[in-house]
Amino acid sequence: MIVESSPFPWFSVARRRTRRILVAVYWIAVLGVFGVVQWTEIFRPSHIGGLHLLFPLQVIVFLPAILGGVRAGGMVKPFRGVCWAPLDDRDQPQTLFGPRRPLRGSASPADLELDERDVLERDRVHYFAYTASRWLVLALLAVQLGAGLMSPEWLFRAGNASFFLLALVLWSLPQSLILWNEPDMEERDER
Amino acid sequence: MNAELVLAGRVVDMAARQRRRMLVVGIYAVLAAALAGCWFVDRWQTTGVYFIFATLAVNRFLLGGYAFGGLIKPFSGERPKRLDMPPPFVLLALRVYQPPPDENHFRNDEREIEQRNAAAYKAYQGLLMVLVFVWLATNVHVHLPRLMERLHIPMANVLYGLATATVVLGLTLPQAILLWTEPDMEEEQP
Repeated sequence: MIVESSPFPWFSVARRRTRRILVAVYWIAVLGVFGVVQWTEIFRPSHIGGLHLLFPLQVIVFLPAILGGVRAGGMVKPFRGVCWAPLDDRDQPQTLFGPRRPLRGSASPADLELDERDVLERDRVHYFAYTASRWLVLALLAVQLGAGLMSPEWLFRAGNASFFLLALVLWSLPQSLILWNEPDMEERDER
Repeated sequence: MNAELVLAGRVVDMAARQRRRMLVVGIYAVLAAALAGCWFVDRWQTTGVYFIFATLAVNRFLLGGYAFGGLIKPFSGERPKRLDMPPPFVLLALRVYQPPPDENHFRNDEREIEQRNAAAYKAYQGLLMVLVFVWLATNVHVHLPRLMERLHIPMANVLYGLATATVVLGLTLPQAILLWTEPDMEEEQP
């Protein structure tokens, strides 16, 4: 379920420990930025809304590029087994100096196809995420009730933030579970 | 998946896919009509909660999945919780006591677990889209305040209804996908 060619040129993601650190950093960053944006919106509300900028950035840029799953380019193979990355489909560019270098995020055919085991793993993880999301919804409902007890304005604000947080978490949860649980991969000899 | 459904003491054969599809369409049509009706009662303020309880009852008696009963076996594969005490005499006398189910009525085999997971994957993808739509809808009043004032729509109630519909969808969608996609079951030979 994890791509063979590391999307990061600086280090390999074959080891589970490395992947777990990456997942932890990703979630800390995403939830941290969400907290900062939410905090800013409370004290300095803008017409555009910081969450509107954060969501496309997270879903279109950060999630596919780091975790993957949505499309080619991240650590997890695309769930649908298709490569929706127009810029990555180009031929490798001929550089002026040195050998040809692959484009960042370009994936080999093996990184785009899901075999039977991958499909089973993908479905299993989604079932687990689906079950976990029920508890998350309950927790957010409790927050919503608490906010409603404080003031009606907080109720509306908490509702907006809850839906956003739910979408944000559910969008990344299956990929995170895969990266967290998948055992160490065999290192390839790259010469 | 069970091939039969017991409704008011009557056994209904649901082995044919067409019947199961009709059941799914019927359930969602009734739920949608009931949700629309609740708007006119109290704008979903109180009825929204009852609506979710009604969905749990639909799962219990028709769809299954999250509860023992209905067409789909429990997703968890766990035995339904019952007291270990002997059955009360009243239930036996009234002939309404149901003996504990056999293991094949609640335990999922490998193929059923795969189908359950595949249905959860499809439902997950669909619900994500619904969630994003609902989140975007929560921002309409911020960007189009004049439009909302003209239409005289209480936005808080609309959002509450959308959230209720999303929860209902989340509770029923995997079972509906399973019932919709599973092919005709073989008739038992006498």
